[in-house]
Amino acid sequence: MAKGPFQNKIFLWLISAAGIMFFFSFLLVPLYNVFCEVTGLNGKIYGPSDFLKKETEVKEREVNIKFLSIVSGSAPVVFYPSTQNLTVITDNPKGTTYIAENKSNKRITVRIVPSVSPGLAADSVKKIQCFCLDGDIVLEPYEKQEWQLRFFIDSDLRKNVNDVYLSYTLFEKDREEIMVMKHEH
Amino acid sequence: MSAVVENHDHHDHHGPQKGIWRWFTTTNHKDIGTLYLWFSFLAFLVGGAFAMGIRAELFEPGLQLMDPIRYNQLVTMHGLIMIFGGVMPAFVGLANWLIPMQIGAPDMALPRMNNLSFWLLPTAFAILMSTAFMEGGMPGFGWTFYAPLSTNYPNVAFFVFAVHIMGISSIMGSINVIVTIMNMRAPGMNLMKMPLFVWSWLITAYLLIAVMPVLAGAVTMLLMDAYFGTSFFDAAGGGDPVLFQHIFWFFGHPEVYIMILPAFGITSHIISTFSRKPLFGHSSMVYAMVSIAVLSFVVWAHHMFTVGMPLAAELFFMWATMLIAIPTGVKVFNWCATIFKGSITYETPMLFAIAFVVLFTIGGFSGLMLAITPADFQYHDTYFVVAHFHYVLVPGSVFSIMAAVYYWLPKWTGNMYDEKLGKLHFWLSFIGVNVTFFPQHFVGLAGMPRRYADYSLQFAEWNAVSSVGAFLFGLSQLLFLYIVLRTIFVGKKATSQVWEGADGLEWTVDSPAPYHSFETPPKING
Amino acid sequence: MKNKLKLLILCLIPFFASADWLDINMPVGVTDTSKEVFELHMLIFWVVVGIGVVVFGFLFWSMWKYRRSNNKKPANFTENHKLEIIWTIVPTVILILMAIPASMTLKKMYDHEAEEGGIDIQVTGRQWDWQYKYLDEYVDENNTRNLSFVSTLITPEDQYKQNRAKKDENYLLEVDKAVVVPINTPIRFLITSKDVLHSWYMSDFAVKQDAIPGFINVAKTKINVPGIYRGNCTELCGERHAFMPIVVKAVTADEYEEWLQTKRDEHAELVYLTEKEWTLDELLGQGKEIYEKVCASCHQLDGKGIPNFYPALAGSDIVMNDKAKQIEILMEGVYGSQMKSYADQLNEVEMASVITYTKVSWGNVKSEPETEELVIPKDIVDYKNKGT
Repeated sequence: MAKGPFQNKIFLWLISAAGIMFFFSFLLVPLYNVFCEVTGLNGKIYGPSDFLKKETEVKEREVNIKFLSIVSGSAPVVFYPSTQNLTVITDNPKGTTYIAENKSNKRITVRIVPSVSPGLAADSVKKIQCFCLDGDIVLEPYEKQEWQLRFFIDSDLRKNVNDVYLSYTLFEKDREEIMVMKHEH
Repeated sequence: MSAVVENHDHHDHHGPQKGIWRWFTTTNHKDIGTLYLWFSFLAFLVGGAFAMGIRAELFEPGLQLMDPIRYNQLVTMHGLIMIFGGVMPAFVGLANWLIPMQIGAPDMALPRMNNLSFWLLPTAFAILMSTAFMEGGMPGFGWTFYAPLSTNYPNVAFFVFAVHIMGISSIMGSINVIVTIMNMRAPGMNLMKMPLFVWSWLITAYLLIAVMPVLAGAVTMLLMDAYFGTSFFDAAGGGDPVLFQHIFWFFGHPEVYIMILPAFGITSHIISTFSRKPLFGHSSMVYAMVSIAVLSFVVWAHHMFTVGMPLAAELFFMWATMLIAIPTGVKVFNWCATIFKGSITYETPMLFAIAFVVLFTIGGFSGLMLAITPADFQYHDTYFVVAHFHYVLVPGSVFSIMAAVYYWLPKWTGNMYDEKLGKLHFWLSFIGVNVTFFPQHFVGLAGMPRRYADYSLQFAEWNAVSSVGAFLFGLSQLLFLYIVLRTIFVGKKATSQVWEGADGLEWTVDSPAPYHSFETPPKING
Repeated sequence: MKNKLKLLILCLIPFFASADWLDINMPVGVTDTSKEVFELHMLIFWVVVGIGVVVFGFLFWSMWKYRRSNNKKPANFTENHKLEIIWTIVPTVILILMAIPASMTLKKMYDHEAEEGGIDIQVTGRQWDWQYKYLDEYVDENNTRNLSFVSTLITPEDQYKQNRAKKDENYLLEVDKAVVVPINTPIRFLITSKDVLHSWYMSDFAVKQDAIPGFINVAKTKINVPGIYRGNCTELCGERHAFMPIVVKAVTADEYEEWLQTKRDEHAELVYLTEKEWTLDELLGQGKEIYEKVCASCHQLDGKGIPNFYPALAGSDIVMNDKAKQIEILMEGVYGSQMKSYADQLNEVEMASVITYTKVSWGNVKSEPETEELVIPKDIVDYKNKGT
C-alpha cells in the first residue's frame, strides 16, 4: 500500500503525455503552415518576394495564368480581375490589377485571400506586390478601387505545369452604416 | 502525513454500501463497471431511437416526418451518442469489471479517479442533450463537426464543453487502466501471459491518451474561432478549413481503432472457450494489435481524399491504409485456426463472436475498397462509407459487446441468461443488421450521398428495405434488455466455471464474483 | 395453399423486376477516367469476394465439421510458423498487386499537363445552390462580362413536403439552368465556395472535389458521350444539403456554340428588357415562379416564414411600404443574418418580378395595385448604377 503523497511514476508520465498531446494539437497549427510553406502543398502564398535576376542562364518558358475572383458571403462588392488571362515568360515580372466596386451605401471592410492551383505551383508564384498581403482594406460607399498585383513565375515551376490559376476570395470583415447628416438650411 | 503505518490485511470484509448513495460514491471496480454498462445501454437505446427516427424519415423519398434541420440533428446526435455514450463507455465498463479479475488484482489502481471518470459521463451528456431545449436546438453538423459549418452553429459551445468533459473521462479512465495493468498484475503474470482482453485494453488506453487530447485541442480551437475571433479554420483570417479536418482525423482514425481493439480481445476469449481449444497464435495476436495501433496514427487523411491534397500525400495515405489489412487479416486467420479442429458448441456468446468475425471482415473488405483512392472519389461521402462503418461498428463492436455481456453476465450476476431467448436475440439482430446495412452498399455505389434528409427516386427501394431492417434490429434490442433484466432477477444459478472451455482467473472465483476479489494475489502457474 | 403461394410470388415479380432494384453498382460513366475507376472498383471487389469465399468457406466448413457432436476431442496446437508466414506474405502480395494499378490511375488523374482547347469553368458552392462562371466565354460584345449563372433546384416543394404531389422522374435532380459543356473537350472545373464546405460530385465522370471557402480545387474531365448527367453536393452544408443538385448537359461542339450564342442573345435581350415598359401581369408571371424556386424554401409558399428563423413577408412593413429598403435587402443581403445577396443570382428583370410579386401577394395590397407598387427592372438598374 502506498504511504504518503501519491508517487507512481507511470501515473505522472501518463498525465504529462495527455498534456503534451493537448499542446501538440495546437502545435499542429503552425506545423501545418510550415509544412505547407516548405512543400507548397496547399496553394497558399507567404509574403512578398523580391525579384532577383538569376545568376545562371535558365531556359525560359511560357506559362498561362488565369485570374479568378470570388466574393464570399453576401458582400455587396463587385470584384473582378482587369485581365482574365495572361501569358507570361518565367522569371519575367508582370503586373495586373483587380477591381473592387462597393455597390452599397455602406462602408465595407474587406480582406482578400489568394489561392493557387495546382497547389504544387504555389511555391513558384512569387508576388512582388500584392493587395492580398495588405491586410484589411476599406471601401467607402460606392467607391471603386483598383488594386495592384506584381508577380513573376519562377523558372523552378514544375515541368509539367503550363497553366496556373490564381484566385482571390474577397471576405467581408465589416459592414458599417454611414450616418448621413442632413444639414438644415 | 501519518507516522502510523496502517495494516490493511485484516480489515472487515464489508459488502456494498446500503442505499442509493452507494452508486454515487462507490470506488469498487465492479460497481463502476456496472454503472458504465447500464449507462452505455441507455445511450444505446437513446441513440437507437434517433436511428429509428432517421430510418423512418428515409423509409420513403420525401420529407414526411421532419424538416432537414431536425434530420441533421438526429444524424449528428445519433453518431455522438453511439460513439461517446454507447460503444466507448461499454468497453470501459467491461474493462472495469474484467481487468482487475483477469490479472488477479483487487481493484483498479486509482479507485476514486475511477468513480470520477464514470460520473463525468452523465454530466457531459446532460450538457449535450440540454441543447435540445435551447433555441437553435441540438448540434446538426454531423458527429465530425467540420468547420466552418460548425463554427457558426447555434449552441456549439455546449457541444464543445460536453466533448471536453467526455475526453477528460476517457483520459482518466485510460490512465487508470495502464497504471493498473503495469503495477498490479499478480506475481508470475508477465505481459505475454496476460489475457488478450487485458492486452487489447492496454493498447487501447495508450491510444486514448495520445488522441483524446488532440480532440480537445480541435474543439478548443473551434470554440475560439466561434467566440474569440480567432481564425484557425477561417481562410478570411489566414486559416484553413482543411486544417480542421487534419486535426480532427488525427484523433478520428485512432478513435475508430479504440472502438475495435477491445472487441478483438473479447472475440479471442470467446472463440477459444467455445472451441475448447487454446487461441491460435497468442503472441502474434498481440503483435498484430500493436501494429494496428501504431499504423492507426499514419492513415488519417484517407478520410479526406477529396479535399485537394497533392498526389504524394494521397499515395502515401492509400498505401499506409492498405497496409493495415495485413495485421487485421492475421487476426482473422488466427480465429479461424482456433476454431479449426476444435470441439465447438454454439451458445449465444459464440454466435455473436462468429458473427463478429464474419461481418467485421465484410466491413474490412469495404474498408479496403475505400482505401483505393481513385475508387474513393466515387465512394467518399456516400452511403458506401455509411455501410462500411456500420458494418465494423454494429456487427463489429456492438456484437462483441453483446457477446461479452452474454459471456460474462453469469459471472457478474451469478445467474445464467435464458439460452433460447439469447439465441432468438442473436438471430433477430443478425438478420436485422444485415437487412439494414447491406443494401446501403448498393445505394452508396449508385451514388446516394450521406447526411441526406431526402433522396432521389432511384434509391427508394433499397432504402425501404434498409429501414425495415432497422426497425427489426431496433425492436430486437428491447428483447436484449428483457433478457438482461430477466437474468438478473430470475435466472438459473451459475457455477464459478460457467463455461466448460473457459480459461482465466475470473473463472476461478464465485459467480456472482465477490464484491472484493483477489484481495490476496493468486498464484500464477507457468 | 400452394396456389396462393404461387400467386404471391407472381405478384412480387413486377416489384422486383423494376430496374431500380438492380441499381446496385457504381456507374461505368462516360469518361476515360470513370471507366478506369470502375475497373479498379470491380478488381478490388472481386479480390475481396475471392478472399471472402475462401476464408468464410473454410470457417463455415470448420464450424460444421468440428461441431461438438462430431468431434469430441479438440486439438491442442497453437502455432504453425510456416502457415503464419504464408498468410502474411500472400495478402501483402495481393495488396501490392492492387496498389500498382490504383497508383497509376491516381497519377493519371493528377496529371497537370494541359490539353489543347480546354475550357475552364469556375464552380462556386453556395448555401444552397451552385454558381457557374465560364472563364473563357463572354456574353457581351466587349468581352468584359463572363457567362455566369446560378443553378438552383426546381423540384416543387409540394413534391417533397409531406408528399403533397407526385414526384417527377428526376425528383431532386432538376435545376433551372444546367451546365452545358462540349463533349471530347478537356474541361477544368475550378471549385470553391462562398460560405461553408460543399463538394461537387458527378458519378458519371468520377469527379468529386470539395468546395472550400478561400481555396480552389481543380477537377478535370473529358466527356465522351453526349447526354444529361446528374450529380449531388457531397459535403454536409446545412439545411438544404440534399437540395442542391448538379446537372451537366454534354453536347456536340456545334450545339455548344449554339448554346453560347443563345446566352449572348439573352444578355442582349436583357438590356432591352430593362428599358421597356412593364405591366403588372408580365412581372407577376415570372415573379411567382422565381419566388417558389428561390425564396419559398425559407419564406414559405404562403409568405409567412418560420417564426424566429425566417421573417414573414406577408404583412411585412418593408414589403408593403419601403420599396428602396426591399431592393437594398435583396441586392446586399442582411449582414450577419442568413438573408444573402441575390444580385448574382437574379438579373434585373427577375429581381423586379419577384419583388413585385411579394408586394401584391398574400393580401399585402388591399385593392388594385397602384403603379407605384410595381418594382420595374429599371429600378434595379438604377440601384446598380448608384454612385457611378
